[in-house]
Amino acid sequence: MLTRELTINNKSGLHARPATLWVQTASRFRSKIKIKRGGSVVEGKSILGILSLGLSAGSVFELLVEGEDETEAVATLEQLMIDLENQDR
Amino acid sequence: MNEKIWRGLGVSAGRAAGPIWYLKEFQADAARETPTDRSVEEELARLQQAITRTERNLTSLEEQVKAEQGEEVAQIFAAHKLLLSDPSFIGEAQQRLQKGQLSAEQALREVAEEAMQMLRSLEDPYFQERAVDVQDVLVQLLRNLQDTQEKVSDLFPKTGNYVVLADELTPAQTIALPKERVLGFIVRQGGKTSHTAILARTYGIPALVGVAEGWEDLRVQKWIELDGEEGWVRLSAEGHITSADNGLWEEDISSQSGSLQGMILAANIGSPGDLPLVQKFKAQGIGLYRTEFLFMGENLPSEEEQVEAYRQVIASCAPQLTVIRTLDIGGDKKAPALQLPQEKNPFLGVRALRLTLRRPELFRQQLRAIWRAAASGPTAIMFPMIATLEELAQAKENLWAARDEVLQDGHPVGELQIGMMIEIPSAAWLADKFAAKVDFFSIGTNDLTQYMLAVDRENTELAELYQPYHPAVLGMIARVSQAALRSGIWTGVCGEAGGEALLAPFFSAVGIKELSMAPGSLAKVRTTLAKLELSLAEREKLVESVLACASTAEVQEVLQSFYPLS
Repeated sequence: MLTRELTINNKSGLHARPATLWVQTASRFRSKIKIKRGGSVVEGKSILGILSLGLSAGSVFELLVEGEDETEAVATLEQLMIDLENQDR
Repeated sequence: MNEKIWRGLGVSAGRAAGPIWYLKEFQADAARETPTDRSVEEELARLQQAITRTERNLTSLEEQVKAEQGEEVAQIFAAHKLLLSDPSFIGEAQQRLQKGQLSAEQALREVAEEAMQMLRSLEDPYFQERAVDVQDVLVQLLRNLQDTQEKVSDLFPKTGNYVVLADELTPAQTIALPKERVLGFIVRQGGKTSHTAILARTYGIPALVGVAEGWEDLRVQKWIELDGEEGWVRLSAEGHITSADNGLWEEDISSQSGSLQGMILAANIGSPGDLPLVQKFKAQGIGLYRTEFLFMGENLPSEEEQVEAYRQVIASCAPQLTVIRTLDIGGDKKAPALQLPQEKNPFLGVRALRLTLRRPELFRQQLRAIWRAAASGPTAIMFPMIATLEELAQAKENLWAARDEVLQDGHPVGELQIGMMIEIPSAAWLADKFAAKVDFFSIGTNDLTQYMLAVDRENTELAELYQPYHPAVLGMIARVSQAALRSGIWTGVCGEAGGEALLAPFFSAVGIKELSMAPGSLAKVRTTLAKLELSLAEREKLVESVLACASTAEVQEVLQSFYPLS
């Protein structure tokens, strides 16, 4: 299992469009993907789950990925976070 | 006059007055929601069927909206589709059904209510507003479970213009309304980023959201006036009807007509259903009529159905020109009825003309329909995705053969201007050769950008590299337009860049004759062009400065310095 600590750096947070992109991206991988913030852990391929964390700008969360394509999944999701930040500029 | 006033958040500018039409919340048949005698398996199967239907509806909405309003708005429906496969939503509902004693309706409602409550309890308003998405999907699922055909468009009065009032307005409902007869939107819930707000702005309809205080009182009023910028509603004298477009834009048009530097501002449409918007935003004809939607259903359209669809658009736009693009399927656009094989690289595969040249029957049928429809008004035809002169020659051969077939069948044919899309770099580079063979060019900036920068425009990871303002793309456009001018033919721009106010003066300066765009973009581009008076020397300077740039950032800086857009 791989874990990463990530920070939301785009200005509107992981809401509608960014969350949609996140789930679409995460769903391409076979690995189990979870997101942990504070005491809650949610399914990383569930849009409701992600929205329920209310990840607004500046929030920090932990990404937990386990499975055959975990390395690629983590790299792709990390890149997505960077892209989202860049799109704000 | 009564001084009563209601306040809300103005999210789409403009002032309008008229009678109220109140949209009641959808109430699923309560009796159907109680536990039933059906087995758990039956309930699960009903749920599954409703999901499949809802998914199909959402896909077609997404495709339609993507083409008409662009990616940003279409994304709403992509998010709704994700809900349909969400383990914490549908998965949870299924689990509750497994336990027995619940109807599919009840299980869905329970899960959805909990999800909405959860979202509304979040701090950030961006997140709170997502409850509407859950509501929208729930309503669609319930409708499909109960086979309710009741649609918003059926409930809306058949005649007259109204200000729409709703407790919550879902995107599917907003899109289903006859927008040409909607004077304004007033919604009790929602904030600046709600879907109603985004959609209202695209349609240019004034809107207010978050009008919670005094709602019950407002709801029962008859005639009101609203301002979607200042954010108020007040009572208005009965019989007084105004809409935003004859306040805001009428003035622009009358004071500035003829001063658009000779540029024609036309609309992109996907079906005759878009015509009211074309009229509302006073487009000067149709610069791109996408015919794909006719072919995206479960069955292919007949020749007669095609003739009818094309004729409606041509006749309603006459005496202005309608440019019909032949089928552009493949790439990002799917058509189940055509049973296309999966390709590894669809954007570089058998799409558009490459497909129709391989399916001569399909192609000929469409060409015949266009010849026949052309009898009802000025019409042009254009072929998408041409890379070589041979392809153009083949397309034209088919076109002339189709004309003979129509005449043999004894139908009258119209006149056609024959043109082609310029979206593949090889065709753009050889524009002078192509110009000798067609009556006009239409530059598809989306694909031209994608192919010049070798970037898949659907790939979100590369979004930053997708740059319609790239100096190479703009340089190519200038080159194409100049080749066209030398041959005495005209050039239009019909990609998304055609609707960018910042680029309009540049396009005008390089000799583009027509900009075609989503109807909602017309007002802004029109105002920009009308305000700007560039001398010949200034126009040359503008082109020269843009073409001297080395990057997209530089181009944007140069454009901004020529005419800062507020």
